[in-house]
Amino acid sequence: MAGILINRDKLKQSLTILLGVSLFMPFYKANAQQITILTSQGQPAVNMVVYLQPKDISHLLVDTAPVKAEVHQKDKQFSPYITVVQKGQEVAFVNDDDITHHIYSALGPKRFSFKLRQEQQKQLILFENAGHVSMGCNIHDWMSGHLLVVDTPFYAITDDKGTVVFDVLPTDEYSVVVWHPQLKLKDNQQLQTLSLPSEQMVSITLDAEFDNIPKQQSLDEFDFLEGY
Amino acid sequence: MIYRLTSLSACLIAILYPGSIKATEWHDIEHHFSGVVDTRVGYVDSDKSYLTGGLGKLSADAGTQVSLSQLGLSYQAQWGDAWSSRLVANAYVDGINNGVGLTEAMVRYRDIPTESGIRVDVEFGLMYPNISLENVATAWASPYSLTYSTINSWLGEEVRHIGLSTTIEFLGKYRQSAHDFSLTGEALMYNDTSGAMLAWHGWTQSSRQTLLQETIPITAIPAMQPGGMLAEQAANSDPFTELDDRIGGHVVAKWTWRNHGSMQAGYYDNNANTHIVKQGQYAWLTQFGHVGAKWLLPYGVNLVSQYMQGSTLMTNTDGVPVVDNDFHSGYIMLNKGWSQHRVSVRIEDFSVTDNDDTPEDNNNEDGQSMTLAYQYQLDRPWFIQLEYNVIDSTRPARRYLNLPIDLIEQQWQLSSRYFF
Repeated sequence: MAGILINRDKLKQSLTILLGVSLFMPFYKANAQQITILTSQGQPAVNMVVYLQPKDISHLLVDTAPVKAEVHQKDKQFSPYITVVQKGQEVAFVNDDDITHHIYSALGPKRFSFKLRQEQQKQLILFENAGHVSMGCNIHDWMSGHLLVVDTPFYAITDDKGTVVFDVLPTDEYSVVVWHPQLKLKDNQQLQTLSLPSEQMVSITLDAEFDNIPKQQSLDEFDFLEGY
Repeated sequence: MIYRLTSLSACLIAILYPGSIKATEWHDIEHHFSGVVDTRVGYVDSDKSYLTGGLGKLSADAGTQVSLSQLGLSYQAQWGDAWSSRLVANAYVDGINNGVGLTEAMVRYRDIPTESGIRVDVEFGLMYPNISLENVATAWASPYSLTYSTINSWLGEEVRHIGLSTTIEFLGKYRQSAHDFSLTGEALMYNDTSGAMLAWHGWTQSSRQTLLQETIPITAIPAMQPGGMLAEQAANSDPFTELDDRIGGHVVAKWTWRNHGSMQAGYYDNNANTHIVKQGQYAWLTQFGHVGAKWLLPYGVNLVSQYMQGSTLMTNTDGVPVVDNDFHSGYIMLNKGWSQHRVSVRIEDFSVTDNDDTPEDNNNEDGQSMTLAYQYQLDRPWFIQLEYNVIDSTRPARRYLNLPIDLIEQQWQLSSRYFF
């Protein structure tokens, strides 16, 4: 009696797994792709922008809802430090501090300068051209943030395991670009061509080291500094 | 007139309701108020303070005092991205030398960097020379200690000017570098008596900034008596006066290594014509070099250090030296903050060397001091601070006041500082 019960449980378990796999696998095989980025020492490379340029440009026309991107100024820091958006997208700059920030970009594909004077004040900026936008605050020089504008819908930032997942990826040959503002390579990027999606796990090991990632921190740790 | 009244009422509203007004839009100009209220209980073991014409180096007479040690209000107006103005007023109610008045007033142009990372910053008005590494908070307060170092106490007392300051900054991030450089050139006027107080009461340690309308009492030294070589000198020095219509200069170069620290070096020369004297105010030729560093050390310790060395000269109208002094002062301060706590330790060494032969006016001085400060952040804007100062100095001029030449002065203070 006991034996039958155990068998029934096992059967249930197996069916559940099978069901899960059968639902997931076709989707995964056809479209999804996980890519892991490793540092030259083999450690997960976190907070790296990874974007894919398909050989067939018709693959750029995917019907995806535009992702809402926000760059916050919080505790006198840009948060997140790195943001990636597709060209033609609007980015909201949001002041979470109760002081004025004077956000600017002085070079690159998009130049702007505006003040966010109070908490929760917002400014929308449209990024029409691809490229690297380095942002600063003209009042708090230690603040530093980066925005990469890419000409593809396939982009992501690596998590703490160094991993990005592209859920829907048409089969094609892709230029896989890995970018970080402190990556010590030309244009801060490493490029590799791969046929994707791949049935195997894809991992890319970086050929170069990083410059020190700047701490967004004043030499005077005090909330009431007045520009002396 | 209406505008002035509006501004004045806004100031009052800001004082009364500091939390409610941070920035208010009036027309196209943005107005912003900030301030500091510093109330203290202190005990001083010294003699009569230099603030009342004594030779005590602290800003309070011997005994226990309760004081409003700083009510600072900073009013900033901004129009467009690059233009702004700042008015700073301070008030003191300490029972020794109560007063309220302006300490800074300037117009500033500071645009964003060019695409090659060059930024121009121009200021015009009543301002400090770009020297202090301590006085970086609202209304020139120091985040570290209640009393400023002797160097910056001197700046607060008589080294301010009306002038034009131009800084060119070269920002490193535009050339993939962690190093920023800046060069500041300042043209100075209305600072012709700078050096007088350093000669006659020496280095001091306080948090007092001379108000625009204030004059500073000079210790009654025998040479100022009728018949003495300094008999023509007025009883009070006016630190913001223009006597010779000559422009002085100050240059500072600064290097900042991102996330590590900064270093600066500068030279100041008020270019005074010492042959000029008007209404008892002599022009003093004051020249000094200075270096400073702010550095992040291991274990979260911050180093702030400055050193200054120079000379000051006062002559009679024929150019014969009456007061001819060399001086130096330096401090090393270490501080460490963790959660709500911050501890600061500052040691200093200072001197004035009298090179002239004027009788009954000995300006020699030699001393050391130590400051221990503990700060507790009660709330984001509210700080409780406990501070101890000790100054050990030798000043022969004290015998003119029948005081011991060697004096050890001590001060204990408990303060509540509220920034808004």
